[in-house]
Amino acid sequence: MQLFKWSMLLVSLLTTSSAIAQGEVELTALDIMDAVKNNLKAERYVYEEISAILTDQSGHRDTRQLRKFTRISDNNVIKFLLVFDKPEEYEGVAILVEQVMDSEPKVYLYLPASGELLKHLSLWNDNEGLFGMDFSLSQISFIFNDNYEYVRQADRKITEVNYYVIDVYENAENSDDSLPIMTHQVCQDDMFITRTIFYDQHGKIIKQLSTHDLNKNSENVLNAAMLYMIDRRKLHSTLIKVNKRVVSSSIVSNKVFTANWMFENKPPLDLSPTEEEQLESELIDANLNTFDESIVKVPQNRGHK
Amino acid sequence: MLQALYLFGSCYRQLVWLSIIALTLLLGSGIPNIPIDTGLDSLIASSDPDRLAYQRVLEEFGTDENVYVFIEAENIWSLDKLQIINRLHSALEQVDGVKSVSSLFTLRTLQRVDNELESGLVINRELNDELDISSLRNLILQNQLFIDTFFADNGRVSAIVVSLEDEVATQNIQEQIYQDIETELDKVRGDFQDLIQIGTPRLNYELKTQLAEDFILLGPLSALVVLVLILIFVRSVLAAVIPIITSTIAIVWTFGLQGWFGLPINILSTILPLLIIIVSAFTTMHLVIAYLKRLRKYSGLSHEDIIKKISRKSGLSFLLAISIITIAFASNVFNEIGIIRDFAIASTFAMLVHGIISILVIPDLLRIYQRSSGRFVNNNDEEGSYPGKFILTYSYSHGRFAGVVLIFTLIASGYFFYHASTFYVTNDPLLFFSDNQELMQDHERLHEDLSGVHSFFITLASNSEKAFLEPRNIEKLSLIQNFVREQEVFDSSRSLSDLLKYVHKEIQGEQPGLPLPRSRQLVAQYLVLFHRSELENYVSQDYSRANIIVRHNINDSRLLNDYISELEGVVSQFAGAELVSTVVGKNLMVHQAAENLKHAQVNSFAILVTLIFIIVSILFTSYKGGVIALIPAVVPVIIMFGVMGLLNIPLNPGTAMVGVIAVALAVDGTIHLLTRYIEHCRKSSDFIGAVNAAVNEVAPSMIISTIALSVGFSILTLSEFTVVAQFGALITATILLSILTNLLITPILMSRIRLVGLYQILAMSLDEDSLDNCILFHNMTDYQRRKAILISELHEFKAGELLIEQDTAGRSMFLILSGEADVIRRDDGQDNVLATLGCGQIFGEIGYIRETQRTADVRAKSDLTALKFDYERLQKDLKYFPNIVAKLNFNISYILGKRLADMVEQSK
Repeated sequence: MQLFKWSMLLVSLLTTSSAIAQGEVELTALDIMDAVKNNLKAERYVYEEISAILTDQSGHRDTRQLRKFTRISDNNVIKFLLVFDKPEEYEGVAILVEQVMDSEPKVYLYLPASGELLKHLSLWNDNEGLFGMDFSLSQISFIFNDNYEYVRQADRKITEVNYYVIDVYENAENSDDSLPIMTHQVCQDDMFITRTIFYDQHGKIIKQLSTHDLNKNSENVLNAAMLYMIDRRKLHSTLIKVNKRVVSSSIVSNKVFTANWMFENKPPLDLSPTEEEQLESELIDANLNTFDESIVKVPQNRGHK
Repeated sequence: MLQALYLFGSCYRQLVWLSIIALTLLLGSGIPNIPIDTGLDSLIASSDPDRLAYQRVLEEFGTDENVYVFIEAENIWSLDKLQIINRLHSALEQVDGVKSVSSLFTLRTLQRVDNELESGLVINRELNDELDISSLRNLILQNQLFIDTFFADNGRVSAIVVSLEDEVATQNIQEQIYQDIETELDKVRGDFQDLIQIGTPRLNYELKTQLAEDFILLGPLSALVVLVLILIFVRSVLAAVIPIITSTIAIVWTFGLQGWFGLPINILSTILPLLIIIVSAFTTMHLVIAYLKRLRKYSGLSHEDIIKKISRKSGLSFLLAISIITIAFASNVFNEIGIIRDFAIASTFAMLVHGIISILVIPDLLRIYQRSSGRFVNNNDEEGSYPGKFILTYSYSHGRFAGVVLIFTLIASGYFFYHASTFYVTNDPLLFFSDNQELMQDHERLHEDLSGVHSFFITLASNSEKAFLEPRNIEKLSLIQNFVREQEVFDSSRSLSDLLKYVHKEIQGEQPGLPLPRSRQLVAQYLVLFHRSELENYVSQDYSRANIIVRHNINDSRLLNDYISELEGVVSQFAGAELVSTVVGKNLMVHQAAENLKHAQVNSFAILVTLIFIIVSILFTSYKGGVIALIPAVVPVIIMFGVMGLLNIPLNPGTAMVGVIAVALAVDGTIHLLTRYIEHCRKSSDFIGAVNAAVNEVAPSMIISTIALSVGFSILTLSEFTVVAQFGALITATILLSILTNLLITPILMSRIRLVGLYQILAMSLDEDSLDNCILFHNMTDYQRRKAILISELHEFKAGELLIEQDTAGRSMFLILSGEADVIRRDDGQDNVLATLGCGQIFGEIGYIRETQRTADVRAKSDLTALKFDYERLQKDLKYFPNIVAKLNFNISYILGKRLADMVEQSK
């Protein structure tokens, strides 16, 4: 299914909405997901400043500041740039994603410390978590993989709010035998995914994503200002908070999505040792030379391995 | 009081038996609930200061106890085999209690190809024919992060690493996990050359299995052996059955109580049933033989009268034997190592209840002999019998070569004591198994092809966050790992440093020496390329603490402790002032407890020896008695420890207890010898004769019971547990040595002292009123008076018997204790009764001072008991009992002086 066939989506939206309004048609899983995707249709040029708060199982927190640029061109090419601003060590690290209709996204990684923009396609398919966070790249970018099959389950009602429950399967084929890879919980009122549960290949829950602080954007569709992902097995979590959101084609120009812009934003680091680093290096070498070998016993019965 | 105690069971038979049966049923119901503890925690000292540090590291960086599935196949790099491994990986993930599974199918690589970074799983789990296996193989075998952990560089061996849930690891409920994993392995075992599970679950499982087999084999076998031996020596079925009855009740009570109170059984518990049966045979033999002898000698006496006689002669010895054996086991009750402490509590209780049950039950069971007829005890004390020949040999040797024997013993003890200082201690549970067992061989395979199953952590901690983004701190990790490599004793180590070197090499290209990134930003930006799960074993979330995981296969506690001690010094030096270093691991704590084991055994041995010394000294009212009791018991133990040092037999939780048990059993024989010796000394001033008589009386039963003990304990050598087999072998040898020392050294030492039993003093019945007025005991306390009577010769005379004959020479004086005697002067054929003497009166005192002819006869008017004070003997006794003899001499001088004054008065 094509993600960005606007007309078809619009038609299906109208049809679905009408059906919903009239209560005449039983919605299929696909209908629901289409409606959801339509709701997630972003403005064409969005700039967001994001805080990502990582919490480990002992409660320790680590905060990262990022900027996110999203641009959808007329020919339905999506460009997405994520730039780290803090902490200092990650400043300038950037991920650029380009997706042309019907093709796999291309992913590029810029590490100022290495000074190069390198293609890194496997980042896209990596669901473990991006850069220590619990979110994968696709979950942060909200660019959907459309090669899924959806199966509707029984609705749920939680504190007077009704939800659709949709199981998501990896492949369209053999779905009878396979287990779902995730389950969406969709609020019936606004067709927005409020919770997603992710499973491993054996059907055990591994993560849970929830959306909070919903606001309508300039196109009158909902956006979540906060996303919370918790790893149920390892008990660590990441909270993504959108601090600022601007719709501007001048801020999110095409120039942003170029290597030059990344280099200008954060030039490649000069890694030749500073005086201080040189001194540290010499100290390390000196430590080696003054290592007190008297504490090392004469090898006896060695050669165990 | 002793008589009442021993007669209680006979007098209140129904009450006693009903109570015993009821208690047996009640306690026995607890047996099904006994917990079994084969975990490593029971081998760690409870006060180990590293426990807390280890717990923190465990929570932060994960467990150091993983399960390894060792896979070997010539064609492991084929699609078929990889598919099987893939399925096995999935199956293992589904086993209850498994937290995660790592294998070829979860490994990630990072590669730079031109301007493209490729990172991701090494192999997709959806295997297909298009997979380039050859390239895959090369990719993996060139990655040092994988070698020695997941792959051997020979290309034939791979491993799946299974991490368990924390709750499983700490609760020791791993037997089910082992079996579940084995079930999965069994499905595919035929597809590989070798498919082996190695780890703590298997160790626990094998320990439990072996434990059960030992329980089934050793206990019944020992009972059978004891039965047969007693039948051979004593030739009485009842004598064989009695210890089985008492020991069975004691076993049920002990294990039942363990079930009720949740006291776990462990590897050492396999010794317990056998121990109870053998000690039962050992202690009850004396009672049974004593009863049978008296039954033969006093055929007209009632059962109760025989019991009374036994209680007087052997009752105290029996109580002492039980008490000392109980104290011996109790000396380990406060041991910090759980396996020893739990065994000590159970065995102490077992010995105690066995003693109580024996006192209540045996006198009543012996009643059966009275009703039966037939042959009783074999005369093993006759010279023609084997014990008799044995005794003759030793009588000859100690009679002629006493000095040589003592000097030789001293030299030998010194020699073995020196070698005892060189024995080493080990606490590794793997060494409970013999080398040829499959478990040991599998551990060796894993160590040779990959890395040993044991792990420990080297942790560096800083106060500041992100300390391990600093290159200088990463460099410290690398330096420590270099040293670990140079030690050449550990198999592998992994840390954050290895990950960074790998990434740096991939992105920057191959450089000599595999350098580390030299800037903080580069370190941080390299680390973003790793998943959190890849880093969490090596560095904390905030990068303030880093961890090096070291794997090894060292099972020798002494060696490992030495290497760790060396490593700790080096790590501390590399860490410097700004980082705090820790070297911890569960197996390290187990091995460090070995030192604790040594100190604990020295302490418990010292406590036991001290207590025995005090008890025996009080018992025989002389510290010399305490010394004599200890020497023949301690010498075999010294020799045993010396032999351990010479033959490199380690001290371990099993062999550690040999010393205290052997001392307790040996002291029992010595006490019997001393008791009989004292009795004979009262009848004769021939101390050597008294020694020989005591040896002749006690040695047969001592030899029989020692042989029974030795054979019984030797059954433990059949155990598959080396600690149990070593315990059995050593204690057998030590007990056999102790019979040699008891028959060789004890008689020599005994002949040089005189002792008085405290019980004899307390139990003596005297005509207090008469003796109060006796000048001979003037200015003596009641205790001193009793002791003075006991150190003298006691003679019994029938009515009409002559005590002193007129006109004969003698140097003795007499004190009448009971009965009456006439002083008769014979003149010209006529007998004139000059006086009648009664209790407390003295005669013959002139002869005491100077040998002179007696001036009158003294004849017993009735049955009479008198103490004989011989001048030369009392002078000898002066050195043994100076205080009492001095008072006696003083009082005798007073008597003579008064007699002289009276004579002068009369002549006026």
